[in-house]
Amino acid sequence: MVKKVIIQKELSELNSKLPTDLCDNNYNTPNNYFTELPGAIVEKVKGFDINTEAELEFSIFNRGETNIKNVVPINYFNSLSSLILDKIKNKRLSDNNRKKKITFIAIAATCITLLGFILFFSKKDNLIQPLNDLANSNSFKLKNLRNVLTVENNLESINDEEIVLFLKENGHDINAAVIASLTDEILLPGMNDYFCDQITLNKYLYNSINQ
Amino acid sequence: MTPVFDDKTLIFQFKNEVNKEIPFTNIVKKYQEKLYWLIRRLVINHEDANDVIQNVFIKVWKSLDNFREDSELYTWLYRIATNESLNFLEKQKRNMSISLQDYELYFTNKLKTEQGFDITKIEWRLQLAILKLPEKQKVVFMLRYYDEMPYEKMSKILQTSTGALKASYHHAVKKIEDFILNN
Repeated sequence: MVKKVIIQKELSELNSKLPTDLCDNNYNTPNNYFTELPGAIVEKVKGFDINTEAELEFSIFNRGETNIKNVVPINYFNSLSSLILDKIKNKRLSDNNRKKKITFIAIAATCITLLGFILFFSKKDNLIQPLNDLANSNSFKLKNLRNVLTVENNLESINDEEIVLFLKENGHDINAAVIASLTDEILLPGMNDYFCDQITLNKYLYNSINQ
Repeated sequence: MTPVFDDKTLIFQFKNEVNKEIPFTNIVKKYQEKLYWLIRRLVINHEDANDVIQNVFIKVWKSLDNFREDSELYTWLYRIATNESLNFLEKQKRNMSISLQDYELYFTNKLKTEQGFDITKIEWRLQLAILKLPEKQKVVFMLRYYDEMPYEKMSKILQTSTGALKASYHHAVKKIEDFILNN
């Protein structure tokens, strides 16, 4: 193919001897190569599922170096567009699946968190109440114990006479109790003894008054 | 047969039609050969070229909806194809962890295994000479010599001034001639 005049002119201005009538593509290609090429490439590349650009790069650089060919497969250019569309569809599909998975996980995590909060706050009162009861009962017992100790300490500081005096002033049966306690301790003469004679009676009264 | 559609029509159809696959297929059919040969001359073997061109069109599918039409579709596609090819070569170089000289040798051997390779023929010696060029100079030479692309368009694709591109092309021509004469 002869180069455009402008390219030829430019090369001649550079005193270049580069050919201007070369075939553009010196890579050998079979007859009808551009029309037949795409089909063969589709067959080659269909098992070549690429989902991400990283995978695409990986696959390019890990394909190995032995497969060197100078011709484009049959029907390559005819089916190239469909091959690319297939890849785009696959990529879109896998992207959508990934998005769905992420959304599902996010929703599940949110639900679990919310459920956890609801359960925690609904049971909070039930959990706290017994603790409060226990604390209240213990403090009540403690208060009572403190009162008992105070009373006992105060009682220890009061002597018997003060107790008797208090009982005399405040209790109805106190006098009787006091008298009873006194008479229990004093040996009295028998009833017949009182009426034996006047001398015995006088002596009794004298003794009881002076005791 | 490659369908003949105006680029603007194809883009309009892609952006507005529910079934984007038809206009996309037409875009692929319209540009696949030009892009394929550019990529193949850069990466040499068909398998690599096939992977790269597929990656190019996947990117086109993903981005065409947002294509603002500040530039022509043709320029945009060439830009993606060039970048993808150069990225591929760069990553391949890194993955192989070999020196620049060994990398050139690797490509020379790759070319020599091509069916029909004949060192006595000028077109194959030209290919070998191109392999010796730095990557960007290689692209400039290929776009000008094989695709006969005007410097203005090339400037948009490679984001370089036309003056720098002309200088780069002239350097490339001289280097290639030297190689052909001396080998």
